[in-house]
Amino acid sequence: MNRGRRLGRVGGLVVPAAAAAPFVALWDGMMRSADDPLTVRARLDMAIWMAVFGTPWMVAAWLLWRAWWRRAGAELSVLDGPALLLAAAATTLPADRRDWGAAMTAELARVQDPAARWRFAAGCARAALYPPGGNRAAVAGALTFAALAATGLATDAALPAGRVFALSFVGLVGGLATLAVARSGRSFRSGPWACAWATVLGGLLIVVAWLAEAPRW
Amino acid sequence: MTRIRRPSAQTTAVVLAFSEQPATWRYGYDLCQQLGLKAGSVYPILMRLADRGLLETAWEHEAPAGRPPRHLYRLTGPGRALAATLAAEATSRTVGRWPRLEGA
Repeated sequence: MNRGRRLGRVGGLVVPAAAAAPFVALWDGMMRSADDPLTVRARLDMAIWMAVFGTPWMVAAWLLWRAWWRRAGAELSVLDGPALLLAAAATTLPADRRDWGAAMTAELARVQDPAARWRFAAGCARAALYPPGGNRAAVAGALTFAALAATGLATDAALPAGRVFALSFVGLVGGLATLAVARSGRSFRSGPWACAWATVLGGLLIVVAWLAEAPRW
Repeated sequence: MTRIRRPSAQTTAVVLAFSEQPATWRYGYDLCQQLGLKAGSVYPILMRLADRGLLETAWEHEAPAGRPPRHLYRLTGPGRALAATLAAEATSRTVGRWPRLEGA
């Protein structure tokens, strides 16, 4: 089996497993935090509920992986380190800058010396991540980190057993939102995006304000 | 008259490098090598110059088999005017702010 097919199969297993991990962690946390020892039946019932909620996530993650792999992943699997670095950075470029990612990739193809390839790819990656006029994906990524920090604080204060689940969930949603923003050609200052940003920032402010008064469960 | 900030030393170097052969299409990597600048510095400059209409871009028509076509760059009319101004500045060493070029 060649490297590309092997990576495709490994990814097809790892991605659904990663999507299932938050639900396994939530189940485990609930089992550990129960006041009274739970019966096997109660544990099984809870596991079934986790499976009910987690299976659609796993299937969705697997479908996303499969679609991405067929479109671009197989090509990425044959790239060397510098090309992978540049390709990963170029995917964050806004739609109106996408040509520049292709331009830098084409230039990298002409560089033969391994050290020079790394230097050129690193410089291009920096240019792709911080292009003139800003990078919407970088902003979305920063907001995701802020949301993760707020979620970590909130769950520590209010629901420690759900910390792993909440962090995984927020991280997953934030990652997908970052990807969507990166692929979108529309300005993040446009109406729908402005509403989305306002909602995220409002949610963060509510969490921070609520933390001051939150009871510890 | 609208005024803009004086171009950075690196931007000036890039524009002057283009002006050496203003009609010739140039490659990004070759520019990096010629100027001794990193790609992380040169490409944002190229993007800004293109955004401001000082640089025109095109894709290579005949790329070697199995390789993607390269992106080509050269100065536009306003870009050449800017290059002339910067060259004069480099000669006279006058420090100041630069007028925005028409069409830029």
